[in-house]
Amino acid sequence: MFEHEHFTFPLLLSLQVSALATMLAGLLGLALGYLLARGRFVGREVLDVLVTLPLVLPPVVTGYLLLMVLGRHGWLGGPLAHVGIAILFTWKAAVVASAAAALPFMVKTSRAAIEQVDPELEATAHLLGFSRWGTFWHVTLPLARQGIFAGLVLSFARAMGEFGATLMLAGNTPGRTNTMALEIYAATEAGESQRAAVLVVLLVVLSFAILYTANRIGPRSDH
Amino acid sequence: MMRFAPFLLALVTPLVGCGGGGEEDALRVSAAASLRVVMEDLVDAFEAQGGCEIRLNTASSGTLRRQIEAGPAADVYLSANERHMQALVEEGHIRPEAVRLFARNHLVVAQSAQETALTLTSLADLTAESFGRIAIGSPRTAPVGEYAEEALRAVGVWETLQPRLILTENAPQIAAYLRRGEVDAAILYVTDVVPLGEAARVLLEIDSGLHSPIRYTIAVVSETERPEAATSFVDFLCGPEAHGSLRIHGFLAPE
Repeated sequence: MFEHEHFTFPLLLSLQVSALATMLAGLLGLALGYLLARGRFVGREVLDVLVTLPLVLPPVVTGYLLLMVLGRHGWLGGPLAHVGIAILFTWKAAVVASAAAALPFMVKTSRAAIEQVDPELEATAHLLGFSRWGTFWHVTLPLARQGIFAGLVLSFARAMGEFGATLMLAGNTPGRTNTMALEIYAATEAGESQRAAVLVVLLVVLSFAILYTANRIGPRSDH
Repeated sequence: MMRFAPFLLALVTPLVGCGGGGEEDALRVSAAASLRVVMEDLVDAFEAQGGCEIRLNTASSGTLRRQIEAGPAADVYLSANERHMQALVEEGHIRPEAVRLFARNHLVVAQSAQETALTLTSLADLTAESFGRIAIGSPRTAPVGEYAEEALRAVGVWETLQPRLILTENAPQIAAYLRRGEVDAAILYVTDVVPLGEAARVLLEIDSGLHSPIRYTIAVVSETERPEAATSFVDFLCGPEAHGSLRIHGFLAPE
């Protein structure tokens, strides 16, 4: 009932996939959030809506769109396959799927947080000789840290629960791509309700511990 | 912020507006997902000849079974897997004599029409290099995968093929891979290849002696409040007109 492939493996895989997906969505989401908050360009709000799409679309559709990009005939998957990098049906596919699902949370929260930062402060820093990057690093980022941190927490939580897009992009192969969410689904479908319950409790306890710790050590309001 | 309020209110109003409606009186039919297309045709035909209104609910046989176990969810149940039907009989949700055979299906090996045509003379030849990735249903959760595993074991290639098998949850997922040419071959029901049309080609019809019979069963749920309507729909589905529709969609007659 609790052999490695169906128990410890999904647990470790989910942690690994969620951590990497949070990093990926975190970096990309922060960059996009900054661009949307401070950039002045045509199509800004269109970009914002595009990035939000994974929230609106059924995850299976997000998975299908990613399949079109990353598949062996996709515009990114094709060239990658040429240099020997396979993404589809591997744990990397699970990371990409989870990151895509988490991205809207990161973009939305970091955009809002950065918009709250007084542009006068950034202008002053610039006047005092900070480069654009220096201003971002020493002024914008510290002032927006609470919102950005909230985005990371939401991203991690969403990545842990990702199911539909992962299923489409990575498949559900024991010992290879069965994350906790997929394994719980498989156990439920197979009528192994007891095992499913154990896995659910484990997922909840683990996520609770991680999110609780993050909230305790994360940046908080000074006033 | 409050400027949003009238907008949201306008979206919600139509929902609040229509209470009642005829939906309450419809006969509730829970059918295995692989039957969805043919069932939509059959429901139309039944309603057209004066039968009562039908509300169709499709999902995997296992999900539908859990809905029936949880409460009065359906008047008629159509299962793609005899195990789920048997479980409902044992739990008293369905009387044993109510279960009838509805249709049969068979397995094929198919490939994407985008790729160069491969030849396959026997199932064991799937071990050839040219069949890189092979998509099958997940044997733990999808009946189509259970049958595929039985057949691959019967010809002795199950273990050899392990590293190349892509496990999927349902027919739409396999269809997506075939359409995009992401797998070199797939084992699925012939009825799931029919709707793919030009996108896929059948390489081999798998000998039905290699796996347990693929049988769809149908039964009136014991808890139904409309046993007569339910029975008349079941009779219609087991009649000659229904068999014609089933054949068009690639299913085989029950016997």
